[in-house]
Amino acid sequence: MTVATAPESFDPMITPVEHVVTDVIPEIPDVVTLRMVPTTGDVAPFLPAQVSMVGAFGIGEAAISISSSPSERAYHEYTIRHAGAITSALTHLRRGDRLWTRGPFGRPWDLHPGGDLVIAAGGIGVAPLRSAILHTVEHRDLFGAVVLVVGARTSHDLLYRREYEAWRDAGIDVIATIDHDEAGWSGAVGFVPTVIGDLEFGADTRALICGPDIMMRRTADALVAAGVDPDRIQVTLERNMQCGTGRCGHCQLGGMLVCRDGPVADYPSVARALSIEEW
Amino acid sequence: MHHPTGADGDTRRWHLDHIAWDRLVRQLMTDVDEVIGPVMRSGVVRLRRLTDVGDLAIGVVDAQDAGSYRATGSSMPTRFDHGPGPDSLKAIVHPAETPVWTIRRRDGELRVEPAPPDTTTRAVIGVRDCDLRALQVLERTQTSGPHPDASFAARRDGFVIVAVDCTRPAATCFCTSTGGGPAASTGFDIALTELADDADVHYVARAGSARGAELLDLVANRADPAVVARADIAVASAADVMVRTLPDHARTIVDVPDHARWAEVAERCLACGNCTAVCPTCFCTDLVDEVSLDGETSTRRRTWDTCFSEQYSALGGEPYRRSTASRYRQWLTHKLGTWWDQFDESGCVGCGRCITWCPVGIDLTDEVAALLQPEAVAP
Amino acid sequence: MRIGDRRPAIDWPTAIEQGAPPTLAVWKFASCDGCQLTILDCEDQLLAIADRVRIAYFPEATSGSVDGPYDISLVEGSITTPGDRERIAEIRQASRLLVTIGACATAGGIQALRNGADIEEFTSIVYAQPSYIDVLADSTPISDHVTVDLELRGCPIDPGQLVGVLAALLNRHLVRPPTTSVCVECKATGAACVLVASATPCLGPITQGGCGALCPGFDRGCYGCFGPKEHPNVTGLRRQFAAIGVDDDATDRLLSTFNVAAFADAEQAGGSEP
Repeated sequence: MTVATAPESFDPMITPVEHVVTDVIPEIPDVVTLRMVPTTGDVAPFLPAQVSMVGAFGIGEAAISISSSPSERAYHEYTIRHAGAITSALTHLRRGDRLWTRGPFGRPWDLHPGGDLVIAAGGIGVAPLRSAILHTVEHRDLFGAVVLVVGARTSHDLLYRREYEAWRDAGIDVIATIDHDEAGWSGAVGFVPTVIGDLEFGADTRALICGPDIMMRRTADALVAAGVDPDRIQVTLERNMQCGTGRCGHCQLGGMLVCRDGPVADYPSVARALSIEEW
Repeated sequence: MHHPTGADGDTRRWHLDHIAWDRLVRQLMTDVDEVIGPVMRSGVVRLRRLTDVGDLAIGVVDAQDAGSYRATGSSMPTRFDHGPGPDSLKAIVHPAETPVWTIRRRDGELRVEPAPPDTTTRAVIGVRDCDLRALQVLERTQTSGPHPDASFAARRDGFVIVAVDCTRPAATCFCTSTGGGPAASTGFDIALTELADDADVHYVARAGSARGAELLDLVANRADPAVVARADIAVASAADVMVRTLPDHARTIVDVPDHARWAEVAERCLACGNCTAVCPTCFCTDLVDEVSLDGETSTRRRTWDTCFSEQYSALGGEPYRRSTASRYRQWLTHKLGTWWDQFDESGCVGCGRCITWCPVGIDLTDEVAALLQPEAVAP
Repeated sequence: MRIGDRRPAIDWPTAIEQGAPPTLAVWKFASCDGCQLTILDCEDQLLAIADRVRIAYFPEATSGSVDGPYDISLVEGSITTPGDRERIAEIRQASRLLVTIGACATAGGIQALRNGADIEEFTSIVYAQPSYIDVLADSTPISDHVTVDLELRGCPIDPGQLVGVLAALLNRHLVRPPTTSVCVECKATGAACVLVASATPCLGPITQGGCGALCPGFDRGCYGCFGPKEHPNVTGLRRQFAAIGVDDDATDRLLSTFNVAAFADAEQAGGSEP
């Protein structure tokens, strides 16, 4: 995108960076992954869980986490569910269409090497975790045991299911669970916190959780009950981010401006906020 | 007694009679693009652009109370003998609507044209201490951190501020219990104390910046110590007339999210957003994209938003704070409590505007007092 | 992002999907034609609109018409006769997107004052031959009868909102106007609050904005022509009106104009809590 009046110092959080869609990958119903590259300049470096404001012409922007690998410098991928007007427009894009991003921004997952890792995802919550999963796939030797628990309503709602095999081959214990048993289903049945409750964890386990608020709370509680240090549990928060720079106020969660201080948070710092209705 | 001073302990005082006053305003009109000051519009003292020194409201006093504002005439030709009106510096430095960018689409390609920052220079006359402090609070929300808002900074940089000490606070004022007022304390170029006697109105002035001192040297003479003493007494006695207070531990309302008072205030609250609009520190904005009829351009505006709106918290179309109780709670706990976590200070400067301009007269100081009372245990 | 996004997927007309001009029809039910005239009042933008759509049926502007189906139908007026009821069902059938315009279409209009009264008595007083009159007991909004994709409030509608909605539709975007109060616009435009500053009864705090605070801008109280905002606390405002000397009867009359039933229903439902 050409900037008509070039600012003295270009800030990609303030001024849009034009991207072109290079591939549209259908995922589960209502969900697609857009692969995109900037029309000028390099693909921006980012860390797992970081987010961009992704813009649709004439409509607006939605905050979406980058779901590709942080080591992938040829493109970014964003997995988007058709929920509102903006995501409806984004999921409608075709190869060659132009859009823009502002970002990437936000506090990433703490993926310091060492210790066991448990990654828990509810529904489409696996999207903001995919870059962390791909990072562990690529750097498997840096971690102890790595367990991924993915929960979905039905087997048809399991996002990235075709990638499980590659993740398992890399040494990740992938446990997929669905809410109710289905004909032909041989995996786990039940909610993520229940599945977590049946597992055992070492003292040096670090946990990453993404899903609806209630799922994150129950999963964190199950992990604490299973002996995981609460300070080593991280969650990622989804609130109404608009500006991405901490100025517009919409994404407040108590004392946090989620776009500025999150989206990743240490569970103890947000446990109370997540437990108060409409906080 | 506390003696107000200018910047860096500058103890110089100037005296302005009506001739010097006119000279000051005319000098400002020469020096900057826009001079803004209190004028009467539809029975209300508003901050509006002046085209002439005579545009300023003269001889106006006001009576403010919860949900009520009346401005009336007085026998003295005073200019600042009223409390704060509905406008603060927010409306100037962080306006209700700001252009952000235009994106043009041609052959599928997008071309972005950022809106140029507003570099208009402005002098604002009659700014009270609450609004001086509010400007600093607002500035922190918009320019601290790695991505400062350039449009805010440009407007802020263009300011010349002529402050006024409050000698007649409104009944809704409580600035002294939020750590400020009634004297102008910080961030001004010139601060005035208005004195009215013998059918004459005159001013004692101090400088808060080199620019302010230069302006005063240009238009006025030094003040006589006797008149300075009278000015100091007038300001000091204003502090004693404020009846409303905010307790020091107001921020602890974040600890009572389930207090019954939240549901009770929601019975009265109209969730109309007047309080957030008149609040000099409420900074929340919405980003609105609009496409042209020909489909070729999309313009983005930033507009004031309010946490009292259902849409404010909506994610994927689903509101997060549905009840009015939760929205009022968000506003008050943010203003007095979680603002500390976000910006290391309180968001309230005690101007009382949210009390006066609430259409049903909800009084934040009453609500805080009730919320800090332990709840009666149900039998 | 706006409330109400999470609704059934929109059945976008092929023309809009492909960036071709969609067909547009304007329909009239019981109304004063004021909202249709607002379309003609869009002057500068009218030609741009005519450039981007094929106007297929518009009784106020042209006598020509084509048969459906229609990509976009704008519907003015309320349903007051059995014939209306059949015709709106046919229009819905023939339209991909249906947008109601104005207080008659969105809330039944001022003619809904008759709702709950004795319609036979009315007709016998007004008409020489009441037997010729075939009319429903109530005047009802379009949404009581068919699915409505988008509502534009007001008596009349705001031309800026109409153009904005049409421009967005052509860009494959169903933009829902903000549901916040008139006060938000009053403060943004710098109008004085007539309720606080002169004890003038004003429905602004419980009325949805969109008019740009037109009446308060002229020192008049809002009379609620855009209908209730989201979560309107009608009872709360009624109490304040009582405090400034407006009794319940006067408040009821104030609430019973262009959106007669809507404010009453909202007060019945209890506004502040969902």
